[in-house]
Amino acid sequence: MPTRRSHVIVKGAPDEVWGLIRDPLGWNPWFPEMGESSMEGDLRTITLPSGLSIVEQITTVDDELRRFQYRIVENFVIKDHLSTIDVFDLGDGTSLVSYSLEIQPDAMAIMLGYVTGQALLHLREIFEGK
Amino acid sequence: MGRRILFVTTDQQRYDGLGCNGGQVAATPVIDGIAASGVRFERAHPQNVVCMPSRSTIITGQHVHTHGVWMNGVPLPIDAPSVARYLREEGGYRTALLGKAHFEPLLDPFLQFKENQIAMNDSFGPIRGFEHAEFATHAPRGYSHYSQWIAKNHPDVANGFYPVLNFSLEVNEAGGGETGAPQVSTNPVPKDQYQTDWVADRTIAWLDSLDAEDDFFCWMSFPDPHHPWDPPASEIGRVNWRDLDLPPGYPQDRAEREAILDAKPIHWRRWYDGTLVSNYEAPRDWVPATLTPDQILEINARVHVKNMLIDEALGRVMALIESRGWTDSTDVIFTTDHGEFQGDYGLLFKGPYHVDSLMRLPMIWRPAKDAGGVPAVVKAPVGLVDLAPTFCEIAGLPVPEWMEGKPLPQSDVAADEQGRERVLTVWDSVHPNGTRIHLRTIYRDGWTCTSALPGTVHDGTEGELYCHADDPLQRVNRWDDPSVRALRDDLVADCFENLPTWEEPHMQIAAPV
Repeated sequence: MPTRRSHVIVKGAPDEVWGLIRDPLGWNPWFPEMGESSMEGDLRTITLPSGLSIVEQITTVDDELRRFQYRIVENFVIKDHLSTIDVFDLGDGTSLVSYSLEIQPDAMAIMLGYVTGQALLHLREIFEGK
Repeated sequence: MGRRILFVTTDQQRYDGLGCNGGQVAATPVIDGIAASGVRFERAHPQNVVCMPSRSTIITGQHVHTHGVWMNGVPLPIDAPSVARYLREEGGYRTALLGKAHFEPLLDPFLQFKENQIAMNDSFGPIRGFEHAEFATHAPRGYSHYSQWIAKNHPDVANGFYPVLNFSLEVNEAGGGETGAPQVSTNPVPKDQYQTDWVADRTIAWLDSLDAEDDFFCWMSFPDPHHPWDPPASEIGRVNWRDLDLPPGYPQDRAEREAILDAKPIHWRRWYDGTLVSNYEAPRDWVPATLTPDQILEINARVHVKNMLIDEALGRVMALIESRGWTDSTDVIFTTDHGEFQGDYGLLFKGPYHVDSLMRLPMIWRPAKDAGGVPAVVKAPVGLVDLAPTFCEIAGLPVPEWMEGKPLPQSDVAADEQGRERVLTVWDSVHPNGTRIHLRTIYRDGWTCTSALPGTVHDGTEGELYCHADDPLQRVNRWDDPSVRALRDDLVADCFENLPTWEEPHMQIAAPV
């Protein structure tokens, strides 16, 4: 199973950073590549800028661990996906954010690995601008 | 008013695909005519044998480790140096790219890359110094202007094209035609809706929009003869595969073929046997050892058809240039980004294999008649890295320091005066399965020498050394021949002394292709 992981150190308190991540419909400022999104129950439907739609099941929103997890479902190309975002308190007013994923096929691992890394860079920029 | 530049590229075309280079099947009278009145290069090499790194070298005039696009899927930064931007800003040239760009990934579901964005946004640039861009790739899928055009005007033909990728987003191994060869299928698309004619049509439209006095740099970039091998069905009858001879690069005796592969670094035989997947440029689930002679012939027949269509399309563009009265003031340069095995050694497609099949490129330059010059054949080694400096010289502009090549010579005497001795090619790949391969190659003095650096397949001791005079098909690997050990050591040292340093961190892979 191909896996990918990116991380950044963000100049923001962990609860503040987590606040941007825990809301499944609030990702656009730091993950604009995701496009538009809507929720129905625990399913988030995103419409990518290319017009492709992806349905994701939000499986974990753990405020204590500051962990967010989701799976892509109902997709004829993507198999066995799980993404995990963790926010760690570095104890000095900054946070370590890790975005990891496992997914098949290989090609999607490369593309999702890249775009999620870009999203983390956007997240870092948001806090550097504050 | 200065010299105009028509720069024509194909994709994945072999040196011997043209009549002027000895090709016996495809009729290419337009290109042959340009060669007969211009300069034909006999030893032009790419700096990398896959599209994105090679095309990035063309537009930047830089070696791979300088521009940083080290494998397919690594995007060239949008603000990277561009000879088009330089010609436009410093020379006042009108600039356009019509056809295949591929400086950024084609697989782009998040639409992160401007190359894909502009077509989806009904835009035509500017991009990378091209004031006008209309993009196409190997099929009307994805985010190109050609795809949009097909979807809007001829939606019924889109599904007739072979699906380049399968449902795993891997290069499709499905076979077709009469032989079941991979990436072969019957495509009912009318010829005038096929990408080759579309590229020529858009080039003609752009050129015809210019004022008579405009200087232009027009890059017409055909996506063919790259696989899939599905030219318009109406044209297939031009070449009957049953009438062809097997290519000389294909050892017909299996034992001989496999012995040749066994004498090369181990990744050759392991790919042939289906025990190694090192790169994305060939179908993961296709085993070269299963390739039959008939399949080679059918694929070659279709490549010949594609080459003929390209030649005819170029002829239409040349007629437009003639009708505008620009023939004598226009430099025409024709080349490709890399080659294709087409059955050599029992292989297809491309990958970490630095032999003439993939490295010896067609390259032709007919300088504007107004600039003088005499027809010539240049045997000295040149590279795609030399194109951007050549465009600068044609435009009367100094070659900027960020370019690493030299203007192409118009004779071997001129090449000697430039001190041309070598041309360099690199390969670096990391596959999702963890396979890493790194090759460093020099061509000099009629020898090709490749060092296989340590990776997951090689331990750093393997390599290839071929004498082209004695072994034009590169069948005898003399890397371990003690009689040429001193030469080998000298070539390896020369290669590393002249390659730019590959600074870390390396740019990130964004997509497989």
